[in-house]
Amino acid sequence: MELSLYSWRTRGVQRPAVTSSAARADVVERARSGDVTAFRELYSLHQRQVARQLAFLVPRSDLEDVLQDVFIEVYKSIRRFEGKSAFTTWLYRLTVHVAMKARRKQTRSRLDIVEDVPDRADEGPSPMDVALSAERQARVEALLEKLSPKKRAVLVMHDLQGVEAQRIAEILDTNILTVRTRLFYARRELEVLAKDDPALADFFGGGTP
Amino acid sequence: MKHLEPDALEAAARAPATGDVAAHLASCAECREHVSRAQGRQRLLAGLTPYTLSDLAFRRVEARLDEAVAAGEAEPSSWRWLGFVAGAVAAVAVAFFFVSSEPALPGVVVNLPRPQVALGQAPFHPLTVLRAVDAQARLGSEAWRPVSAGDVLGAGEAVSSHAIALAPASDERWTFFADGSLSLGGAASLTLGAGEILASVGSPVEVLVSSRRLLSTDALFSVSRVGAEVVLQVSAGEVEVVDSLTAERRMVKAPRALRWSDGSALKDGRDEVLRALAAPAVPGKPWTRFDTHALLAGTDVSLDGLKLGKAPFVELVTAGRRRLGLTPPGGAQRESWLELIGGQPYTAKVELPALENDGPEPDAAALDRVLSELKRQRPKLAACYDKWLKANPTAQGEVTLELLVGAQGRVKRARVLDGTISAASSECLVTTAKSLVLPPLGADATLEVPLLLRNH
Repeated sequence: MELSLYSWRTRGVQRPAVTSSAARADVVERARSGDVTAFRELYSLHQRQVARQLAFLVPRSDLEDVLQDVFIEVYKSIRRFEGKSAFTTWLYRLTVHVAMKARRKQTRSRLDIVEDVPDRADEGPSPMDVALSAERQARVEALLEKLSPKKRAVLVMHDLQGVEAQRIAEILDTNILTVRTRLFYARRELEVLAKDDPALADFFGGGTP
Repeated sequence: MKHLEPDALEAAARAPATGDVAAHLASCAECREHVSRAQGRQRLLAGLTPYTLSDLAFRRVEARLDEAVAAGEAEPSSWRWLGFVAGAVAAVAVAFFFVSSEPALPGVVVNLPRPQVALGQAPFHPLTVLRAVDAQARLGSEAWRPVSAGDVLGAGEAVSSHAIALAPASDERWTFFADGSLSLGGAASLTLGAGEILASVGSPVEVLVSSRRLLSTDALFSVSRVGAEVVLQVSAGEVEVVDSLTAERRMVKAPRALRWSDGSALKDGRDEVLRALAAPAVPGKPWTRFDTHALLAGTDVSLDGLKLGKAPFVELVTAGRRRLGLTPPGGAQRESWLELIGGQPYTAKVELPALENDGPEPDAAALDRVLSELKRQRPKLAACYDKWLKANPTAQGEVTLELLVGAQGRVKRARVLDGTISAASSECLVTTAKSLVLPPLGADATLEVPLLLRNH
């Protein structure tokens, strides 16, 4: 399995050719049985998906560390994955839980941390209508960070990632009423915070900002 | 009065309410206020651009996962993250030339009093300098010549530099990042701060200082640099130990590690070292030579939010529409948009050069004629939006084009001042705008043309 070791050297060229669902299931099964090659393939297959799911759940500056934490947790826990749900569902659930547990870390000076995802219609549940300016984007991200992890998780999953409330309840091991309550308060809190921000207040002035 | 449920309020914020909801809203000021706030929040969240990590960051995480998994090797049932390599990669001729009197056995740590690795390149490919700080090069005994980003180094050249990043001129299969002196040729020597490391391998080598690895298809190394220490982790291949004084040679099969014998801690200060070294990623082509020597020394420079370093330096960067951030020492950051054109050098300045407009202001009638003509030629600009829509059916945005229109109506220069459209669309608009011919104004004039790109 030489290719898998060097899979990331040239993007898209030397990646393991794992595309079918059966092949993906085989990778998971091999990872469960302790095959290190399979674990590396899992990272290669799911790294970008997990990073996308972590966007807004954790601050940009922590994204890299939390992504690592997620896969460390995958490494530790995959033997407990019983296949009762799809692996991606299990991984998403684990991702959300790791993100909620992640504590704000000391920002490290890095040269190259995050980049904006180019617009693509086939990615993400909510199409972007009008992109915010960089400054406004940063301010909204800062406001999201002010929400408690529980409220932020519900708001991001529901309003940004398009996850149904019932599924959020399953992911968070709670009931749908709790999810709706958190969502209600998260939205209200975000509105209050945004209205108090001079750079964002015009979004609430009735017209198009 | 019983107010609307949250779901109904959200729905009313997304689309005009009908039926009972509309009737309720007409009579309930509080609900209308909720709907208005929800509309504001929905617009705010809809405008967010998702973020992810760069390829380099994904690799860093992968490298750290390597370490985490490798740390579990001692446990009987744990995985051996790197172990599988040994079985998959054939033993290869990896020769390390260094002075050592220590006995070396397979699987043991070999202490190197003066480690040296020579990186062989066969055949040798010319190397393009991506970034250089205080770099000089010479061939043989010729005089040293200054080296800057964009220069190409040939076989046999010796390089002296505080920091240098190189990539092959022909392809991008591998890149060096070195700090110190580097000589190139049939057997290159790469100095990694603490001392000279020499190695030779039978295939191209990728040196990734950020993840502390040297990779080749024939061998795997990992390199740690901490202060006065260099560690080579060798998990496959053979190492030839050579005493340079006596010329005595001895083969060691895949030693677990080669490291300095000074006993200093391996991990302390690693981040500091990495920060000083900067990223080794090869920027995508086409390249622009990005020069910061016109800036105040010590100014922090970033492109698209990623720090490039402190001025002065020259670096090859990817051309296109980029966001430049400049933070002079003790000053506030200033951001502006750039149009970097492949093959054309760019010199960063604190103030973006305004488009020259020395002529008198054109009269209103002339401006009206220009605007009418711009409207007539709008389909040309709309073609750029069509291309964007093909890539992203939901694309829409706003942009302001600044045009320097010559006295005869030819667009002499164009640039995008600000906007919320894709970089490719910006480039397309600029290119298209430069091809426009407008009614003569009688004098040069700078026009700002706001464009709203929306699919009806």
